[in-house]
Order: sequence, then C-alpha cells, then structure tokens
Amino acid sequence: MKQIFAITLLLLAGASLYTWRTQPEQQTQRPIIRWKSDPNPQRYEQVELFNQWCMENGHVDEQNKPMIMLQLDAANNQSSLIQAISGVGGDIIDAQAQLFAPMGVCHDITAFAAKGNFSLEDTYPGARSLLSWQGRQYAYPCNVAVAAFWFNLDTLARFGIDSIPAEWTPDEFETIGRRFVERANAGLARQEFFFCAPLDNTYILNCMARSQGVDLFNETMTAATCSEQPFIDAMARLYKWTFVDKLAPSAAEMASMNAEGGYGGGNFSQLQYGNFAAILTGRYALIRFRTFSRKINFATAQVPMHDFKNLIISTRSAILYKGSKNPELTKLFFAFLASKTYNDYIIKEADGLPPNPKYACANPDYLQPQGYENEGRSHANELKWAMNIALPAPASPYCKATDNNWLVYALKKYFNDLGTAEDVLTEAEERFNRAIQESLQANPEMKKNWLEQVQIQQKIEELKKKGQQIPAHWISNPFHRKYYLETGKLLIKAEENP
Amino acid sequence: MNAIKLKREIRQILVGLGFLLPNILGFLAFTTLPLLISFFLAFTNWNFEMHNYFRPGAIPQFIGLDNFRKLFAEPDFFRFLGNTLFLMIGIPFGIAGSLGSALLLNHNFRGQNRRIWAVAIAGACLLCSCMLLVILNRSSSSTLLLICGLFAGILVFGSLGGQTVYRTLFYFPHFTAGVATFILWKKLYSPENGPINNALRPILDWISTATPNFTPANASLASSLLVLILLVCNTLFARRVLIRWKEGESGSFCLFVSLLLLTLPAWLAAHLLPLPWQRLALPAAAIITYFVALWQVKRGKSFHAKADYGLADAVILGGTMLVFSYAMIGLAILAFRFPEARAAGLAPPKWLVDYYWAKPAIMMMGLWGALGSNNMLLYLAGLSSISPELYEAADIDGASPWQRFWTITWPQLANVTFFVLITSVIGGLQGGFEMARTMTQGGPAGATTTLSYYIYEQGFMTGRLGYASAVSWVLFLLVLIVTLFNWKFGNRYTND
Amino acid sequence: MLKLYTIKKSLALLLLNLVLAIVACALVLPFSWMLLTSLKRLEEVGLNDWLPEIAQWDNYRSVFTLKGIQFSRWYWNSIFVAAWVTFLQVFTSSLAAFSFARLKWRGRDTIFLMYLATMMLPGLVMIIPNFQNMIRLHLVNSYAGLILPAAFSAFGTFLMRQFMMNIPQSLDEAAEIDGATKWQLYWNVIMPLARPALVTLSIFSFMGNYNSMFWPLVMMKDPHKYTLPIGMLAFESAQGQQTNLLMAAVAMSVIPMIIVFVCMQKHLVKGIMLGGVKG
Repeated sequence: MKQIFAITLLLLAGASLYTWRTQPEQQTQRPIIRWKSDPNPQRYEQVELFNQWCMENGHVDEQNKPMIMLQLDAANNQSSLIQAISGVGGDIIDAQAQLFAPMGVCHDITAFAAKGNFSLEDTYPGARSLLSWQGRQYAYPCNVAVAAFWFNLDTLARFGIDSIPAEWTPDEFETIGRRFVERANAGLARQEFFFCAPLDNTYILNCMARSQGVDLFNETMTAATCSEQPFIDAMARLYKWTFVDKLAPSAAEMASMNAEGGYGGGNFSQLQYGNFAAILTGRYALIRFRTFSRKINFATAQVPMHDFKNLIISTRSAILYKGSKNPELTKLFFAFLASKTYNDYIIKEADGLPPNPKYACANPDYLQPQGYENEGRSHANELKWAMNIALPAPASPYCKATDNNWLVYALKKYFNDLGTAEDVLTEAEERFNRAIQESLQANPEMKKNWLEQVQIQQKIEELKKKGQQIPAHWISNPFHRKYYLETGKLLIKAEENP
Repeated sequence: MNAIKLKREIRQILVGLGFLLPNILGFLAFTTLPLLISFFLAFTNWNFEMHNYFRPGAIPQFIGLDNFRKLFAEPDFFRFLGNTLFLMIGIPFGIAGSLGSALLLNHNFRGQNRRIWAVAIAGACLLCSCMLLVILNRSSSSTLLLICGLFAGILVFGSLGGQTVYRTLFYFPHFTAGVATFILWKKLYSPENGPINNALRPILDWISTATPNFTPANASLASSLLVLILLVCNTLFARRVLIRWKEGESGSFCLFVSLLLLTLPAWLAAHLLPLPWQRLALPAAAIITYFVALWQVKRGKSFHAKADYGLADAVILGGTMLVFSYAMIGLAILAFRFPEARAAGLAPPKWLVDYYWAKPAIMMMGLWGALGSNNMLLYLAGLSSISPELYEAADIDGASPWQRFWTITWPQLANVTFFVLITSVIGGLQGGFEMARTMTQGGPAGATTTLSYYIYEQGFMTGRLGYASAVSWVLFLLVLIVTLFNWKFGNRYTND
Repeated sequence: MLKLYTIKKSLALLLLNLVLAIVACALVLPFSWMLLTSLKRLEEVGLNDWLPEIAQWDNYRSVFTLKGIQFSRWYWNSIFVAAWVTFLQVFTSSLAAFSFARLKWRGRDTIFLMYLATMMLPGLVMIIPNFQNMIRLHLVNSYAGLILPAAFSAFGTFLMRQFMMNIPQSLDEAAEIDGATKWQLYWNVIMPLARPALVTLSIFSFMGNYNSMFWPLVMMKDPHKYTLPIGMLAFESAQGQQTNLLMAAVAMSVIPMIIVFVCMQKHLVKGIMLGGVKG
C-alpha cells in the first residue's frame, strides 16, 4: 500500500513538473506582457506585427529580440471584470474605460498619451468619452467600429432589388424588407430567407429612439428615460419586424441554424449564403468576408431612423492594467497602437477603423482599396459616419456599468410576450433608477454630485417646457449636447466650445 | 492511577487528532472559516467595484440587514426562488422513475440457459424483422433501422448479460452529466432542426390530420372528462387518507399535511381551467373535503396515533397526488385548447429559447439523468434487503402484484424513499447552475435563472459579494429547514 | 403443468427484457446521436437522417487544431487536477477515517458529527469567501487554487469510515499484541483491507473533479489553464454553430467517463450503497 502511494506521488510530481515546464511563462526569458483580447484570428498577426515594429524601431534586447514578449489571451467567455479586480488581469486589457476606470483598475495614461500622439484629440470625436473618466484618459482604441447594415447586393439582386439607400426611415426599411421577404420565400415551406440578422438588440433600439431626441438617460444622466414614447414605438417596431413581417429571424429560428463558426459567429456565413440579406456589423467583418472564396458585393446602410441621424460608435480599446508587473514596458504597446505601422495595418486588413482617423481620411488605400472593388462605398461610409454622426452608447456615471443590461432584459421580455412594450420599458426605467440609487447609497461623494445635477436637470426641464435654449455647460450627456446643438436648442456662450 | 489514566487519555486524543490533522486543517480552512466569513459578508456592502485589490483604502461597511431587506423587497429573488421550486417539480418524477427502474432491474435474470437463449433468439428475430421491414418499406429511413438495430443489440446483450448490462446503460446519463452532456442536450433541443423536433414534427402532423373529430365541442367534453377523473381520484385519495387516519396509520398533523397537498391544485385550477364549472368544481370539492375531514376529526377515531406519525408517507403520497393533479389540470387545459392550436398548425415547442418551455425542457433532461441515478442503486440495495419470506407469505395469501407492492415493497422502502426525497430536495434547492450557465445563460428573460445562478451572477459577474452572500444564506436557511425536517422525522418514522 | 409454468415465466422474462431494452435504448439515444453527428459534414447536421453520408473522422482531428481552442491542454489539465485532488483526498480522508473508525478518543464523535453536518451545507455559501481567500493567497488562476479546496472532503471521510467500521476489531487487538504502532496498524492492516473503499473513493473524487465546473469557472482565467468543462464552455461560445465539431468535442470529453464507469462500476455501485443507505 505504501508503495502504491509513493509511486502515485512520484508520478504526480512528474506531471506537475511537466505542467509547470510547459506553461508559457517558462518558455522564454523575456518579460511577458499579456494582452487580453477577443478571439479574432487577426490578433495573432497583430502580435507578429508588434514584434516586427519593435525590431524596426530599436526596442530590442541584447540578443536583438523584441524587448518584451507579447502574449495573447484570447478567450471571451470569462468575465474580465472579476479577473481584473482580483489582480490577475492581463497587462493590457481590451475593455471599456468607462466600466473599468471607476473601479480603480486602470492606469491614468493622460500625460503619457499627450506625449505619444495618442491623446483623445488623436481619435474620433464620438469615441472620446468612451476612453476617459472624470476628464482623465485611461484607454486608447485598438480599433473603432460604427455598426450598420451590411447588405449582400447579390442576394438582393436575386430577388429583384437593385439598390439600398444609405439612409432610410423605418417605413422605407419596412417596405423594402417586406418586398424582399415575400419574394425570396415564395413557395417555400419554411422561411429560409431573412432581410436582416436578428433585431433583438439594443443597438437599433437606441439609435431609433435617439433619432427622435430621446436617450436612455436624461441630459444630466441622473435618471433613465427609456419609457418615453420613442422607445416604446421603436421596440414595438422591432417586434413587428421580427414576428409579424418576419424580416429577421427570432431567437428560436436562430437557435436552429447550423453554420460554420469562427470569429463573428454564424451570421457571416448566413450573409454569404444569402439566407440573410444584411447583417448588422462594422468594417471589421471584412476580415472574414475577404477569406471567402466568392466575393460579395456590399452596400452599407444606416439602421432605419427618424430625423436625427445617429449611430453608435464602439471601440475595442486597450487599458493599462494597474496590476501589471511591467507598466513601463507595457507602454510600448500603446506607442505601437499610435504608430503608422499599426494604423496602416488596420486599414489594409480591414480590422475596423484605424484608431487615428488622420491615417484614413483622404487615403486612397482606405477609401478605395485595390482589388476590393466589391466592397463599394462601405469604407467611405463608415468613416464619414464615425466622424460626423457617431455617438457613444448611452451610459450614466451613476449607474453601475455592469447593470446596463436592463434594456436588454426588457427587450428579451417583450420578445417573449411577457408584457407590453410600455410595461417592460417602464420596468426597465425603474430598475435603472433603482440601480442609480443603489450606487449612490454606496458612494456618498457621488451622491453629492448627483444631487447638484438633479437640480440642474430641474432647470433644464423648465427651459424645455418654455421652449428656450439650454446652456451647454448644463448638459453632460454627449447625445443631448449634439442633438440640441444640431436642432438649435443649445445655448452656447462665446467662451465655450461644445 | 488517575494521573496515568489522564495521561493515557491525552495521548489517545493526541494520536486521534494526529491522524485527523491533515484533513481537519483543510476542513477548517476551506469549510469552517469560509462559512463564518460568508456569514459576516452577508451583512456588508462588499462590492468588487468599490472594494477591491486596487483600493486598499475602501473598506466594506456593515449595513445591517440592508441586503436582506433589498432581497425581500425586489421581485428578483422570489422570481428566481419560484424558478428553483418549479424545477423541483421534476423530483417526484425522477424518484418514481428510479424506483420503477429498480423494480424492473430487481428481477432475477439468470435463469436456465434455455431461457436466456430463447430471449436472445427472440432479440435476433426482432432485429431481422426490423431490417426486413425497412428493406421492404422503402419510405423508412436508415435512422429507423439504426434505432431498431440499437434496440435489438441492447436486447441481446441485456438478455445475455442480465442486470449488469441494463444497470450500466441506465446509469450512463447520470454518470456523464456535466457541461458536455448539457451542450449535447442544447443541440438536441434545437427548435428547427434538432433531432427531438425533427421526430416530433411528423407525429404532430399525424395528430392534426388524424383527429378531425376533435371539434371545440368535443374538446370541452374531453377537458371536462379529465377534470371529472381528477375529481374522482381526489375523492378516492381523500377517503384513503381519512381511513388511514382513522385506523391510526397516520396522525392528525399528517392528515392535515396530506389534505393540504391534495387541495393545493384547486386554487390553481380556479384561475387556469377554461370552463366555468371546472373552475368552481375543484375548489368546491376541496372545501367539502375539508368539511368532511373536520366532521370526521370531531367524531374521533378508532386508533390513536401521535400527531406526526407517518409523516414521511403522508408527504410522499400527498406529493405524488399533487403532481398528478397538476398534470391532469394541464391536460385538461391542453385538451380544451387543442382545436384552436390545430387550426393554427401544430408546431413542436421551441424548448430552451421559449420562455414557457425552457423549464420543462430542463426538467425533461433532468429526468433522463434521474431514471438510473444513484437513487436507483439505493432502491436496488433496499429491494435486495427485503426478506423474501414476506413475499412468500403474501403469495400464500393470494395477493395481487399491486397489493404486494403497496403492502410490502412500498412500506419496506419507505426509509430509502425518504432519504432520496430529502437529498433530492436539498440538491434541487442548490441546483440548476450548470444547466443555466451552459444551456440558457439563465434566459430566456430569466426563465431558467435559479437561486444558484443568481448568486453566481450577482457575486461573480457584477461583483456584489455582500448581496450574493445574503442570497446564499437565505438559501442555506431553506436547506437547513429541510435538513432539520429530515433529522427530526426521518429517523423516527421510517426506520420502524 | 410444469411446462406451462416455464413458458409463462419465459414470456414474462421476455417482456421484462423488452421493456428494459426500450428504456435503455431511449436513454442511450442521445449518445448515439452525438457520435453520429460528430462524424457528419456541417451541411448534413440538421437533416432528419442520423447517419452521416461518409464518416468524417477528420472532425476529431480538427477539434485539436482549431485556433484558440487548446483542447489537448484542457484534457491534460483536467486529468492533472483531478489526479492531484484524488490523491490528496484519498490520503487525507483515509487518515481521518482511520481516526474516526479505529481509534477511541474523547470528542471523536462530536467532531465526526460536525463533519456530517457540513455535508448538508450548500457549497454555494462557501464559494464566495473561498474565492476571497484565494485572492488573498494569490492562488487565483493557479492549479493549486483548484486543487487545495477540493482536497479535503467530508464525504470521502464519511465513506471511508463506514467501510473501516466493518473491518473486525479483533485485527487491531492482534496487531497491538504484535507490538504494532497505530501508524503501522494504519498502513499494514487497515489500508490493505480497505482497498475496495479506496478504489471507490478514488473513482468518485476523480470523476467529480473531472466534471466540476463552478469552482474552475470562477478561478481559472488563463485559457491555457482551463479544465475541460470550462474549456467546453469556451468552445461552445466560440465555435458553437459548428455542431459536428462540437459533438466531436463532447464525445471526446464524455468517453473517458464512460470507460472509467464500465471498468469500475462494481466498486462504484458498492460505494454508493455504502454511502447512501447508512446515511
């Protein structure tokens, strides 16, 4: 019996040694910088590019190898939040500064960024508030995206639709969509062709509501306002499009689709095979599409909206983790993100929009890439929209970012017939407001600030009622600032610059 | 002398503790200490976003009962508790299934050689006939052939190998249950082209074409008939309960428990059943039952038993009846709505992505694992320990198999059943996390979020550790109640 | 007369076998679907026909080469962690069980009762503070953090104790007369006799850990260190629509369990009865 135990122990010790030896840390002498990102195959190439860049710019050690070993941790199913706060996040984390900075897990990079050409001025106007918190910069984009509908023109042409407008109202969208679905599925036992990918996402909901002047949060972001009529209408529209007009598949229909996976999921193949005429995505989708043997002729269109055209800008931005053991070396990575090498790579490989728009504007390689004529105006459109109409997703500093799913929850509830649009949105509004109260309770300092803002909000409401212009410095919600400015409701004092 | 004795005792304790040491250190570090910490956490506002590794200055504060107040004030907790309890409806089915499997498996397979061969040959014949069937009838697919082949193979192996083969096959689903099999089931449940719905679709089509007579009038008749059957069964059961009480087989408290379990569905029926008379009938029957019971109690009984005598039986039988009642009510509603549904086209359920079907889907998967679980093995052990003389005596009295089961097998297995029930309830209260995480992410719209998933979500996804601890302590109290119930009644009434 | 009885008996047996085979068939069907689907091409997956046109054995190889899916490493991690836990659990549990079953000392029964009581506790209550402790000990995202909390099991102690209680006490006395110490008694007398229980406990704890999900899910952050269950979650979320590959992965993670079970089922069944009936 003793022997058995001893032998087992020896074996286990051997196994441990093997396990330890084969850990990535043990394979190299150079300091390892971990980069937590998404499982896009493109990231592996970017790691290579980083090594190259290091060599070219002299960031090398004695053996003429890059000073650091950049290692990619790319798995997307773990909550990076818990990871970060428990001290085991990567040195660089692709995450929202808005979400992570208030928890104190990010290094402030403001000063460093100003020196290195990657300050807030060096990126898209709509993205700035995503990268900073309380006026300090905590992140810089790896890439930027403004999602829109990407149409497969070949699919449309098959069913007699020649072109798609770049901007449309919900009614126009519905008319064209219904025509498509009717023609495409004529004579089929089960609907196989859809006008677009599932509509049960808050992106379209937010854009549609914003196009009528309502945001998820009010002007001072002190309360949620998602039970207002534009939200209700938008949600009812999405429901109708999914279940009545069948322009888009429902969750059940989605759950039964088999398709090749890979980065981006099955939607991409559905677009390629023509089952979806459009999917909601950004330029980064071209990474996959360019690998398909058959070239798709693309046209991009905004999501259907009313008067005030807007889209939501999103960035995959890198933060410098406070728990990093090598913060100085990690800064090298940010310099890499700001470099022309990296920006050109993003432009060339179509991994979204480059972090710095100056490399894309007026660059023919970006606007009309050689050999990809089938992509049409999609590049120019996305850049134009990113510079002109894109806004960050709704958020409030008083509402814990992890709680932001109430709108999603409302949408899911409504799509499962568990209440009217008004009911579920009213409930969502209450839940948001309760979440705000909760975080105020936990943080007295925040509460003081909030109370001041609430008073300002009251004044704003009064002015709104009277139909007067509202002073710009009262408004902290980036959406309302832009909306009021463009609709002429914003009062700008001479010394202020919106 | 005394000093020597004391020394010896101390030595004994030291030796005993010495052997215990490695285990008890881990036990203290990873069980006892966390338990204490968790208790204190439940009264703090510990939140990862506010108090973490990078904010050594921020210290969580005691907020008294605030977490619990929030928990009881918000609808979430009760909703998810409701989900947890709903999923536990599967437990009686699982127990009945494992008892059934055990009863089937308990037979002596190893007879004379001739018999074994007879069965084996029969199996082979079946296999051949299935093949022939498929070959002759070209419309059948190879899938059917495959399933028949599988069946015949199992039959041949089973009749040759006896209990072991079947037991192994029965036990597979339980043994392999985990993320992998949940993913498998997720695919089985695919609404449009999963194998389950692929199989259901032709059956549903056949049903809708084969039932042209099922007009709305007939439907309400069928629905009424079902409710009538339920009423009769309820009455018979209530009578049985009263007789048991009168004859001293159960105490007054048990009478009350049984009747309560029996009449609970009536209140549900009052809301859900389609026809007015049905809505009235069940509650009326329930009220009458109570009156009769009261009247009987007033008249007294022939044998006196302590108030809580026979509680285990009362709970088990009442629970079974409860489930049966729910099933009948469901069927009645289904029958009534059938013509309407047929007109709209019968479609198979969308399982995991449908708000109302997600929970039943998970329960069905649970049943798949529960048929041949540890519970079946426990029942098998229990069955093998019943002395054959009891059955022989019953045979001499000319008892029917049904009587044999109810007078010998069931009472003899009562302690196993009680143990199995309690462990299942405790497991059920804590369960559902792995399925929810793997198959539905707690959705659709929170339909499959159980308490354990809620704790995970609050604690590890949004970082509210204090609140999550409070939830887990409420769960702990629920489990404790069940445990105490087991401790108090389990040994006293089932082992005699 | 006798012959009629025999025929009747045979028919009953046949019927019984039929019923059992039908139920067993129904229980095994999901596994057969899994195996068959894992051999299909992607286009065939949704079809009514369960059989693949041509078996694609390559699917199994593809699972190992998918980018971002380190399937072989996850396999190794699962087995590695489970093996360590099993070893530690068997060792500490048998020691403790020896103390509870074969030694007499004051306070023994009180402590044992405490052990029993914790078996009823919901593990969820302990998970949050345990995670906190792991952060403090810098064990998050490490193998040790997975192994240590699982290495001490009240259930294992209970199971071993039940078994050791049934070993005749006279052996102890005989050993004592021979002048054996308690330590020798443990190694040379009790442990060899407790071998069946040791095997049972080993299987239990190995399979339990091979399958465990909650704790690895909160602990392991580095894809290189995932165990199979959370690896499968990652697989499902990244490649979930490739049903054929997914099923190949599922099959590969289930098959070791099936093999262990078929080989070891005698011990398992005994262990369950030992642990259950007397509890």
